[in-house]
Amino acid sequence: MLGSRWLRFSLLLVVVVTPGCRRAPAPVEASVTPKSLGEAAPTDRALIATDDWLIGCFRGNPNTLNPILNSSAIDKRVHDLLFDGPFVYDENLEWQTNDLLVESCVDSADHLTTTLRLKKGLRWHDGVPFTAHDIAYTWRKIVDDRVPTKAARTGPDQISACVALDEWTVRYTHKAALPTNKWNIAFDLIPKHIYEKGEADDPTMVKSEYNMRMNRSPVGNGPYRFVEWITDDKIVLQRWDDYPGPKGHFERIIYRIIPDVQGRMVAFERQEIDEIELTPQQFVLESARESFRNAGVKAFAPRWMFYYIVFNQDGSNPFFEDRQVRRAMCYAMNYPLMIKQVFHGLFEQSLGPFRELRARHGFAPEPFRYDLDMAASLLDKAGWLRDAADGWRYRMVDREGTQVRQRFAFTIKIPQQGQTSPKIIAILASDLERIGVEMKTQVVEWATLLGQARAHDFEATLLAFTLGVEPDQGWNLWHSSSYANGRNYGGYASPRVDALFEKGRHEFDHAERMRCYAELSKVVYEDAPYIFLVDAANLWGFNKRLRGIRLTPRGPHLFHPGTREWWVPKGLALHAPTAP
Amino acid sequence: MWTDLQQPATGSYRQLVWRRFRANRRGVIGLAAIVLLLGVAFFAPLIAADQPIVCRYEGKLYFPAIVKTVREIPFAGWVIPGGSPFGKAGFDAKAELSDDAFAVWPLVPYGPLEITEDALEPPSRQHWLGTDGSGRDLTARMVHGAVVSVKVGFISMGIAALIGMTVGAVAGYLGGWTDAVLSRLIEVVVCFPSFFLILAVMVWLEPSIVNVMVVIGLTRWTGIARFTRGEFMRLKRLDFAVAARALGAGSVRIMVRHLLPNALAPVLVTVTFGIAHAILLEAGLSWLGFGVQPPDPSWGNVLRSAYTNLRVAPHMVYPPCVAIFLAVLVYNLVGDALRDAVDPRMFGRRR
Repeated sequence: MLGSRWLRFSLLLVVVVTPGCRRAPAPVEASVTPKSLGEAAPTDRALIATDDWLIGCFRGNPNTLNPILNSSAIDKRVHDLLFDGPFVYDENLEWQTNDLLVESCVDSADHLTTTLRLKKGLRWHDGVPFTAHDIAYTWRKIVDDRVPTKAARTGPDQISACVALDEWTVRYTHKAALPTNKWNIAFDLIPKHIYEKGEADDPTMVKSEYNMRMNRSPVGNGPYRFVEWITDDKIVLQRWDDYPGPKGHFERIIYRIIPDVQGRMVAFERQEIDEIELTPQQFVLESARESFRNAGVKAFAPRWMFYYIVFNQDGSNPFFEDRQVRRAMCYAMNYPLMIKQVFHGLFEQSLGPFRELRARHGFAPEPFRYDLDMAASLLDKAGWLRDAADGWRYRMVDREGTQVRQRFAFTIKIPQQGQTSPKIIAILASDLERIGVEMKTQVVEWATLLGQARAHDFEATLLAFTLGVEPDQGWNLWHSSSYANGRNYGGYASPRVDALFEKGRHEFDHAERMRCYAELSKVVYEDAPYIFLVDAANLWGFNKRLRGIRLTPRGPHLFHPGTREWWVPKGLALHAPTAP
Repeated sequence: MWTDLQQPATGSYRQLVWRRFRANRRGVIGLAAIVLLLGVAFFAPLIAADQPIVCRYEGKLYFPAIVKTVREIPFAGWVIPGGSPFGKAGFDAKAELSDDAFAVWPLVPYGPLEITEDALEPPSRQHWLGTDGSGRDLTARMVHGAVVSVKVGFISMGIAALIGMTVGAVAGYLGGWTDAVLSRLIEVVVCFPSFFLILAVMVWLEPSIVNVMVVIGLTRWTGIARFTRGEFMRLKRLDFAVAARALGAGSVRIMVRHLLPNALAPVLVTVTFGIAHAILLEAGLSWLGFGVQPPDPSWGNVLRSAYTNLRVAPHMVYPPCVAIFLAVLVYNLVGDALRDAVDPRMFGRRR
């Protein structure tokens, strides 16, 4: 009896295991982004399936739907459909005035004030007029220390006053005459008549029941109005028929919340969601499956996002203050293997920020290439010498006045559930061991890791950053003053870089300004505060019926008009209540 | 089938329990599987490694994998003389040894951290269970993952047994207020859902296999304490305990010398089930990233890596799933058999 049971169990095992033994599909070439995807919407709305619904997908819930409290890309994507502001970023991520709201926008000759005149007759979704007072009120709340505005304060805090001169006129007064001032006034807006009701009870905007309710069910002025947000399930927006601009092409836009990467793929293939951000592996291998091709198409475009390993060089550890050590780390990274194995050949080695500027102004540095001999030689020069007995590297370091022998062993913190980071650090750890350096790994929950990065509580960590079009954004990453409150997590400090940032910020001659940033970029790359790993790419899958999609360096969403342009040809509706 | 349990019991209590245990075929199979698992874990560097078992290098004979195995034994590593190039950080044996050099390689000639260019390869003659997303041999990772499972199972339950038996013995023997206070303590710890308690603690501690073992040990002792307490309450009233007390033996001596040996068998049952549970807990923690830290292998993080590659390399899922399932199964089989063997009410039952 027992024997036959074991036999049956073994047979079952063979049957179960056998399907897994087939070879993985061969990688497919990345020839993608069909022309139909970018087809602009016809002017005749009769040709558009305006009763269809667009079903997007988020990895998690938004933190808030109050635009000035927003802190994530997910928050921002919902705000972009619910709210309209006087300034927008276009497809090239250039700063523009929003003609729908703005009659005129004039800078003073001394660049210290900007006067904005709004169009008349604008309204919020609840019918209350949208006026200059809403803008002035929003600015006051953003710079109010009691309100946890986090990211939104960077920029508006460089304005000394924002005053409503009348119902339709706002005057912004800048603290200094800077070419970057136009970015400082492009903040998201909130309705004064909604939030001032809750101000007496709760000036923080986040604690009272009323404010919390408003932060979850916002009143906006964009082409879609808020319907409902069911935590961990979905967010529903409905087309606002009184919108003064071009009406939304979908009756509803629903964002489903699916945290699991496999779950999102299954939902996409079953056409339960219309868009999916793909991992490199999904893009190359999984999208070759018939179930994917039946559901949609994939799109590829460059992206202004880079992955990097940042070293803590603030002196809290004995390793990374030395520029030669950091450069050695850069030479120890096997970029070709990482690109092949982790990113399936889709991403390119990152050569640091603003590299187009560098090339244009003749500041191109020698790129770091995988070279363990060079890495070892730099470590030797830095005094980290290999012990003949155990093969590890050691150096005498001063610890509270005493010289102690320190082994070169450090810990890198990586985010939990990251798919690519364990593979990247496996490659680096293996190569570092070959040159006598031990790199241990610690997985940290994402929010905790960010907190630790801000507190400089790490030796090395792996992160990613998305750059905008304005090079002054780099101030937050590499200016020494950003160590305390900015994103200069590793404590990089270079007097030359600081001086170039200062010069670039005050220079109104565009060419000269860009030259500053080009030189700065070269210095940063050569100083190696990071290992610049790869420049990422946009990897998306879209339902095959969607049209009007444009991929910018920040993805298909976070620009104007972004999702508002998407449409579905008449007859191809999928999610509409009347669809077959 | 009738067992020999109906035969009159002869010999000591331990012999009696062992005889009853042997009569349970599933228990014996389970025990054999555990011995096999322990063997795989102990000899992991000899089974799967990127260094040879024995080789000739620069005119000298070396035993790199054997040395590595011995070094894994606590304190034993000190007796091994240093100086071997194979023990040095970053020494690449495959690159250093020429093709015609004498070398006996392990059954699986790959280390668990050895990266190859063959990522996501299906099972083949070269890689028996295939490779993962970083091109690492899955067989090697599974073999070295067994070390983690064995360590976590035994050490964490060792800690739990030490705490549980101490608390249970004191509560059961002393009774009264001491029992009341310690029993409430047990109830308080029982109230916490252990997995979430462990997760919460792991947020404060640096994730590592040592911390996982300690935290599991510190949270999984309550069952053992309750069993020990019950046994001590029963045993302390028996004649041999009363006689020991009458002869003037102190409380500690009675507890350690007389009661504890008699209470051990039922406690062992709980410990055996506890090991199975600890293996599952570790796999769960490593799946979430809070257990064994990458790139070191454990069955949990191998399974996590398999999950992310589920649709393109399904072969990766089966080894960790089957290993975890079988490990938990065999400990449960042994626990079951042990429970039956120590329980007098099971005498003569049809198995």
